[in-house]
Amino acid sequence: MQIDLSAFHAAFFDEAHDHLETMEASLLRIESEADDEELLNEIFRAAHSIKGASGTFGFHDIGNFTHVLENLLDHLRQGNLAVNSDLVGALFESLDVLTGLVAAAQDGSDIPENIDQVVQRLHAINADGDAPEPAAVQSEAADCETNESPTPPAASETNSKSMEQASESGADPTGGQPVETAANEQPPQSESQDDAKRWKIFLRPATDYFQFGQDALLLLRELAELGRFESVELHQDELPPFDKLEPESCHLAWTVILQTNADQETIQDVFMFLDDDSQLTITPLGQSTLTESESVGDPTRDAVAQTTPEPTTTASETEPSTETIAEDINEQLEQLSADLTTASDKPEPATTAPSPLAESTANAAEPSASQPTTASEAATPAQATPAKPAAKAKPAAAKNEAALGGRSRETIRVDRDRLDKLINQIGELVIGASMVEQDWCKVAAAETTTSMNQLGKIVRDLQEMSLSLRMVPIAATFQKMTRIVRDLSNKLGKKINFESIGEETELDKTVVDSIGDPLIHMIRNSVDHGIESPEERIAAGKPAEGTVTVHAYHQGGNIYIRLTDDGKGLNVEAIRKKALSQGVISEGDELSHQEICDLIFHPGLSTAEKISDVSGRGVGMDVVRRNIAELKGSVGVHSEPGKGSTITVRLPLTLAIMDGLTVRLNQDVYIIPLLSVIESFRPGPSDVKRLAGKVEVVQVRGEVVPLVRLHRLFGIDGAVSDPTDGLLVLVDDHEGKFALLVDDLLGQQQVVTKNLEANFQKVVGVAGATILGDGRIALILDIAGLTALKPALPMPSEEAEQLSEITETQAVDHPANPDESLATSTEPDESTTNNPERSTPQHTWA
Amino acid sequence: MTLEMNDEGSLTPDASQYLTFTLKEEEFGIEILRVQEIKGISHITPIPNMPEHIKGVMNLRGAVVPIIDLRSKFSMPETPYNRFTVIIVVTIGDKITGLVVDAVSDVLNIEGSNIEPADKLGVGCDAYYLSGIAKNGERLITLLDMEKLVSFDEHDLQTAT
Amino acid sequence: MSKSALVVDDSTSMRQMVSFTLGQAGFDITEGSNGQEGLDNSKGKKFDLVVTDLNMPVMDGLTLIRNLRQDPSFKAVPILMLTTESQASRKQEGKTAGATGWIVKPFNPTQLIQVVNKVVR
Repeated sequence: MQIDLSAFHAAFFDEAHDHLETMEASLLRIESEADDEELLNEIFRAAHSIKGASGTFGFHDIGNFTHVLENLLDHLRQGNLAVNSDLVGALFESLDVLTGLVAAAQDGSDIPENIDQVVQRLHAINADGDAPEPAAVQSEAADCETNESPTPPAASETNSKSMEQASESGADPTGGQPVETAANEQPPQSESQDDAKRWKIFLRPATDYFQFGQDALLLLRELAELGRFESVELHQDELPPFDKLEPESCHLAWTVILQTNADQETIQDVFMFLDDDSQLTITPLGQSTLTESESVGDPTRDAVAQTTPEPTTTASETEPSTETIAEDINEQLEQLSADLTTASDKPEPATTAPSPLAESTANAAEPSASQPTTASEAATPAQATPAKPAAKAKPAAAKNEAALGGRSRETIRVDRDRLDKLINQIGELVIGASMVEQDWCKVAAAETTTSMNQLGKIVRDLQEMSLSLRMVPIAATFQKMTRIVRDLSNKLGKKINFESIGEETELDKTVVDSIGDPLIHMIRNSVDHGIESPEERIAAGKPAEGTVTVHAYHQGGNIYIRLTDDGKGLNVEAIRKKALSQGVISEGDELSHQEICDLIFHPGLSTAEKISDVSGRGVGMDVVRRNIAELKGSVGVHSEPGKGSTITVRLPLTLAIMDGLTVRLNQDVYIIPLLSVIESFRPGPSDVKRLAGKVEVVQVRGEVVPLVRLHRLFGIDGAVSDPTDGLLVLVDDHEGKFALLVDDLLGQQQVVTKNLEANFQKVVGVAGATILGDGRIALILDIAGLTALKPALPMPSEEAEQLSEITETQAVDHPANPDESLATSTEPDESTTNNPERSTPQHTWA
Repeated sequence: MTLEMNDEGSLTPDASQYLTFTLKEEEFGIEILRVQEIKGISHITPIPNMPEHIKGVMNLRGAVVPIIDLRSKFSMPETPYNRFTVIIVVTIGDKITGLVVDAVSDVLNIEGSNIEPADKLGVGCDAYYLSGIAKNGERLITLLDMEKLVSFDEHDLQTAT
Repeated sequence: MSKSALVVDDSTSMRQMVSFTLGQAGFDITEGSNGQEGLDNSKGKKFDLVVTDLNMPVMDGLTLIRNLRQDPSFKAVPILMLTTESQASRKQEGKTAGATGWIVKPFNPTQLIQVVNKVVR
C-alpha cells in the first residue's frame, strides 16, 4: 500500500508545537515547584509523544534527539537525578534545539548548530543519572549508540536500524521474554539451518484464546503463506464431551509440517501475539532431536537456550519465565503504589515510560549490549532495583491522569482564514439584518415587529459568539516573557523573581499575535535597564532579588497589561540630556518628571545609557508605542526614581468590532471611535478664538484646546463651517485633546471594522471602514492619525509655539516644533509622501 | 483582417482575450482574465485627500472596494454619474478595484502579433499605463497595463494633478 | 459488507495516519482522541478491529481495553495497541487487559496493514 505520509505532516507539526509549548510552560515552573511530579510527567509525555510520531513520519533527527532527552527526563522521574538550575538550563537548551529541529523539518531551515553540544551535555547528565542504577547503564549504552555519540562502542549502527531491532526483539511471542530473545539472537547456527526448510510447528491455543480477539485460523493461513504445508494434524484430544463444550473456548491443537525458505524469526513473527497461556513449539526437522514433550516444561531449558544454538522456542504455561516473576513484582508494586496513593482511584499508571523493569528486559534483548547477558542475570537487577522509583512514578502518573481528566477540554483546530471569513460573514449578516429592518420600516411604515426584534437579537448573539471564537488567553505570551526573564537574568547576572497574574485573560488572537513583540521588548528593558545588579540593589537597601510583575486584566471593554518592576526607575536626567542633544526639547523647556518620562516614547530616544546586546540598538519605545497604536491601543509609563517603573498597555478586546460615534459632514457619515471621545458640545460664539488670526482654539470647561475642522482636513465641501452651527466632538488621541468640528451627531453604534488595505491602501487619518445599515460605507476616523494631518495646515511655527503655551496638555506631548511631532505619526513615510500633495488642495478649501 | 470578433470561443477565455470599453470616443482593452464582473454604480464613499480620479470606496458584497474614474485618471473631461454608469470590477493579485468607464463594448481575441508595443502614439492617456496598441480594422484599441493602472503607487498619486 | 475499525490516539497526526491507512484497506473508521472518547464513540456500534494508543489523557489505552472487553459485543474483537519500542512490560499489561496484539512505533502504513492482517480476516 502506497500512502504519502506527508499528508499528515501538518498535523504532526501542529501537535509538535503544542507539545513544545507544554514543555516550556512546565519547565518554567519546575524550578520553583520541584516537588510537583506532574510537571515532569507533562514534559515527559510531551517529549514521548513527539518521539513516537516523529519516527513514524520519518523525522529521525527529531526522534533521535527526543530519545536522548526522554532518557534524561526518565532519570528525573525515577529520582536518579535531582532538579537543579544547571539541569533546567540544559532542558531549556534542549527545548530550543528541539524547537529548531521541528522548524528545520517543517520549513527546511538549518538544524540548530549547537545540537551536538547539547546532546553531549545530555549524555553527560544522563551518565550521572545512570551511576546509581546498574540496570540503566546498559540502556544508556543502547541510547548512546542510537545517537551516534562517541561514548559507546557499537556506534556504527544507525538509529533506525537499532530501533527496528529493538522492536523486533520486543515483539517476540511471549511479550519480551529474555530467555527467548536470547535464543533468537544466537544467529549463526540456527540461520544456517534455514536450509532445512522443514519445520514442525505445534500450536495449542489457550482455552480463553478467542476472547482476546485471536483466531487460530488466521495464524494457520498466515503460516501457509510462508510456504507449503506438508501436513496439518488436528488434535482433538482435549475436546470435552459435547454437553460440557463451551463454544467460546478453544480446545483444539494443531501440528503443522511446513516447508519454507523463511527463517525461524519469520515463522515466530506469525505467532507474535500468541499469549503466554498458549503452547507453541517450532522445531526444525532433521536437525532437532527435541520433541514437544521435552521442550515443554523442561526446567533446564533456559540454560539450554542460552548456551547451545538450540532454536527451539516455547511459550508455555508450565514454564517459569522471568516475565512471570516480573509480573509478580509488578503486582506487588502496584499494591504498594495503591497504598501510597490512597486518594487515587486509578492505580493503573498512565505512563508509557519504560520502567526500569522494562528497560532491563529490553537490555537483555539488545544484541549489541557489550556484556553477554544471560537471562538470569538480566532478571536479577530487575528484581532488585526498581522498587523505589517505580513506586514513585505510579502515584504521580495516577495523579496526573486525574488532573488531566479534570481540565480536559475538547478543541478543534480550524484554519485561521476560515474562521476570519466566518466572522466577517456574520458581520455582514448583522448589517444585512439591519438593512432588512430598515426596508421593512419603509415598506410597512410601522415599527419593527416582535419577530424582527427576535431576529435582531439572535444575529447579535451570533456575532458576539463568533467574535469569542477568536479569543485566546494571553498565557502563551506570558510564557515567552517568563522565558526571556529567565534567560536574560542569567546572562546579566541579575536575580529576578518574575510573576505573572491573569494569564487566563482572553483577547483577540490578532491582538495577541501583535502584542507579543512589544511586550517582549518592554520586558527586556525592565530586566536590562530597570532591575539593578544584586550588589547595587543591596547597596540601595533593597532585596538582592528584583521583582518583575506582569498583570493582565479586563476593564471596561479593554484589556490592560501592566508591567511593573522594582528597579531603579527611569533615569530622567539621562533622558533629558538625550532629548536636549537630539533637539527634542530645548534648554528653556521646563518639563515635569512625568513629561520627561513620557519622552521615552519619542522616536530617537532610548533609555539605555549604553547600547547593550540585550536591548539592541535602534528599536525603542517609540516603536512599541506605534505598534500598540496600530492595535488601537495606548501605552503609558509611570516611574519613581529608585523604586521602579510601571508600564501600562491598554488594548481593545478585539479589532473586529468597535463602539463608534456616528457623525455627519454634509452627505457623508464618519465614525469616531468612542474610546477617543470625551464629550461633544456646541460652542458659544465667545468660546472660539483665533490665535494670531489663524489658529483656532476653543474653550471647554476652562480648558483651551485646538479646534480642528474635519471638513478642512478631509476636504469635504458643503459642510458646516461655523462651529456655533455645528457640533464639536472633544477627542483625546493620548497625546493631547482637540475638538473636531462636525455637522451633526447621528448616534452611537457598534461597527464591524474593515481595513482599507485589503483592496486599497492605508489612508492617513482613517483607521478603517465599516458598512452601515443601509449598505453604504462609512470611514472610521483614526484620531491619532489626524495629528499627522494637522501640521499640514497652514500654521506658522511661531503660532504653534504660542499655541503650545496656551494649551499645556498639547505642549507636553508635542514638545518640539510641528515637524518633530510629525515623525511620531504612525506612518512617517506616508505622511511625508503625501504632505506636499495634501497641502495644495487644503489651501483651496481653507 | 487578422482581428476577429470572438463569437464561439468565449467560453474558454485565454490570455489573449480582451474586454474593450470606451472613454469619450476612444476604445480601450483590458485582459479579460482580470475582469471579475461588470456592475452598475452604487453609493461611493469619498476617501479624504485622494487624487481626483480615486473617487472613493464602494460596498461590493461586504468588501470595501476602491473606485477609480478612468476619464479622470486619463485627464479627460468627466461626466456626471447616472444609473447607466458602468463599473468594471477587476482583480489584481488579491485586490479588487472598480473602474468607472463610459460603456463596455466587446470581448475580442487579440493575437500578440497584432499588438504594437506601447509608444507615444498620441492616444489620450499617459503612455505609462499602456501595455500596447491593438488594431481592430479601422479602430485602434489601447491596451492597458492593469498592474500599473491600479497600483496606487507614487506615480499614480503624482499624475493626479 | 465493509469492515469497521475504532481508532483511538491523542496524537492527531498518528490518528490520521492510522485512520487513513485503514480506510484505504477498506475499513469504516470511528475515531477517538482519548480512551473515554473512544469508548463513547463506540457505543452501539460493531467493530471488526480496535487500534488504540496507550498513553493518552483522560482515559489511557489500557483502561479503554479493559472497558471494551467488558462489553459483550467487543468480546472477540481484535484490539491492537500502539506501543513504543520494546516496552515488554507494557505489552504484558496490555495483554492482561485484553489486547490482542500490538504495533510498535515507529511504524509505516505497510507494517500497520501487515499486523492488522494477523488479526482480521
